[in-house]
Amino acid sequence: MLTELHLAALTFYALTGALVAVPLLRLPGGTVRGTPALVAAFAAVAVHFAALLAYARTTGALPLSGIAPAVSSLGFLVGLLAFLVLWLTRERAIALVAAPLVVVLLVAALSTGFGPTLSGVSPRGPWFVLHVGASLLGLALIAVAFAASALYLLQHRELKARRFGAVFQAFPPLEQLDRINYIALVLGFPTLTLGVVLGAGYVGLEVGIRQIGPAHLGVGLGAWVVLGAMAGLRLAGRLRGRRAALGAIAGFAVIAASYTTLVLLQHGFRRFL
Amino acid sequence: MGLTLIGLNHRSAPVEIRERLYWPVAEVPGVLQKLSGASGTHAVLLSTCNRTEFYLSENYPQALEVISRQASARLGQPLDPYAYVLQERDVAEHLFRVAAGMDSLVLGESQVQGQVREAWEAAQTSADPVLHRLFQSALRAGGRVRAETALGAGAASVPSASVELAHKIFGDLSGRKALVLGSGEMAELAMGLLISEGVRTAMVAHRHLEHAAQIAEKLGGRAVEYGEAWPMFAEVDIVVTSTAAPHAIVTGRQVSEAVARRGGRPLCILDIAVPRDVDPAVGRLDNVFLYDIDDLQGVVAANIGIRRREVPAAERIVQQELRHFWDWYTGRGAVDAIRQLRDHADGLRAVELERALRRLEHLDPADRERVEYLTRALMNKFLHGPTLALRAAAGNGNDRELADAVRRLFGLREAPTQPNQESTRQ
Repeated sequence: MLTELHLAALTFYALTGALVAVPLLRLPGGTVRGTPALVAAFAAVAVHFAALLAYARTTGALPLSGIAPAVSSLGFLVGLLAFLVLWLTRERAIALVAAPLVVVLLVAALSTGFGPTLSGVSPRGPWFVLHVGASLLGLALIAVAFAASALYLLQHRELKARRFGAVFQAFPPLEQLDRINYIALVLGFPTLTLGVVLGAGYVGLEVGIRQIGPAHLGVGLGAWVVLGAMAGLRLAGRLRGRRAALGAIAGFAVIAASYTTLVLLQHGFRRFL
Repeated sequence: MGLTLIGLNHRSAPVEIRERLYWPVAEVPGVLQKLSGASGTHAVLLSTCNRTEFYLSENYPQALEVISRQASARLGQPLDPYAYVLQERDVAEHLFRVAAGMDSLVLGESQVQGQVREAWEAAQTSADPVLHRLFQSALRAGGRVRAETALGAGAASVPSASVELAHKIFGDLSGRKALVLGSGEMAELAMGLLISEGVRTAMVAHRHLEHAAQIAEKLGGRAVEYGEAWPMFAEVDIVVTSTAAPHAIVTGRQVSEAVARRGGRPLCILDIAVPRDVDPAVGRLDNVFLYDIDDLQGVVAANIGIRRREVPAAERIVQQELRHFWDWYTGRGAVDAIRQLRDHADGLRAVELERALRRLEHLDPADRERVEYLTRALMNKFLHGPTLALRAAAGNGNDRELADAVRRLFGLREAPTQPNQESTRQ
């Protein structure tokens, strides 16, 4: 049931991406208004939520512990935030980056598998739940900033090069993308900071420092430092536009790459999250 | 014959003919009243800079004569070489395409939808139910084409392309500040559109301060000389240039310092002058987006290309709406005849039922109800065949003859016309 619901959500995310990509293919009569993409995105988020709910009911624990549930939760948060952007701005291009990103996360979660870890899931304390929840939300906000930044750079390139094709037509205005990037970073930093603080509480009170691997510490603190630097520069008005977009993409890439590298080196990734 | 159209448009007549045959909206009711008085016909007059067309619900021969005579008198020459006449389904198809912007000089332009609506509103007293329905359906077709396709997407003129480019950089333009360098009709048009989107004119710079003051007063800005304009590149969001200078007057050296003080905020420069006013090197500065007249025309060309690709989708919508209208139009005679036939039969049934029930006073209420049910069932059975035949005839366009035959057979009178019976607005 968990797998089927995740596959259904994955299909809806892929459909959302496809619906948004149709105008870019410039087919005759290929113009699709925002509504079908919005409906598909809503269906994807709703089914994904149902999948996570089913996990919680089956295991009696929140989907935060273990690779597959945590990655799926991260995907859900990214999907939810992208849906909110789509809904509030009526600019559907954000789905061009967010939808494939969530699809990749869901594929990763499904390939890791929910089944074998079910019996191993044990309920954890509130420190853990809040720590992982806040951290995942912070990471999801960075992912949204990444999506907006990717679109910003593409649209910026088209505008600078004076190309008025499909990207120019379909992508949102530069300032709007910059604003999404700004909001995601400014909200993401305090959220991730909260995650780090709660993580310290979790380590101090529940597991002890020796139980935490370098991947966990490295990625958590690394993400916090990168996001903090960017949020600080943005709040101070020293970073905006193209440089802010490059910064957000670099930050996201650093976090993703360091996490993957450390997990692979550590061989003990089951303990992570 | 029913629906008829006589008119001319941008394809059949040059502008000097069209402009002489243009009636402002305020004059339209008078023209239609005169036409109705002379020929007794119901009509709607659609008069724009690109077309003048009379839509008639019935083809009274004298109506066409009257229109032709009046138009020829106004033109000072015969109308015939420029005019076209369409009839029945072609009239509806033509109007649907007009309302959708598919028959416009600029494909997909949206203004014509409002003009069709104005023409219809100006003919509230001179149009009959057929014309009301025709225009309602045309407006619905036009609305659907705009909502469901990209036929009207993007800018289709250089001034509106300026606005589109500014939108793509800033999104909402309200509160943005603009600087105008020089004068020129195109620049003023572009600025007019930008101001209508909420842009504030901060400053107008011109070689002659007096001229700058005139433009500044018109656009609501402050007049300065060129030399004072360069520092403003640090503050404004949009710069529109249109000077008569023979060489570039805005160079990287002049504005790079001001641009560096912008803190990464984008600057949109629209150079509408020929020869160009802005050195292309300015466009290479960080966060500066420079567009010249060729770029603006490129935006227009790209949008027209998109609009052309949407024509088949728009055509499908027009044909769908046309089918709906045509079903209604051809079925009108049948609907009246069916209603009259049923009313007639029901009246007879009611009289005979009452007479019969007076003789059957011993029946209890349940049995009386059964008898009444029997009479209704019999009536429906008898009328089923003729009703189907009338509907089928309406579908084939032969309903009028059959409706007349039914009326003669059953002794029915033709239903009187009620002019504003179906004039409910969308």
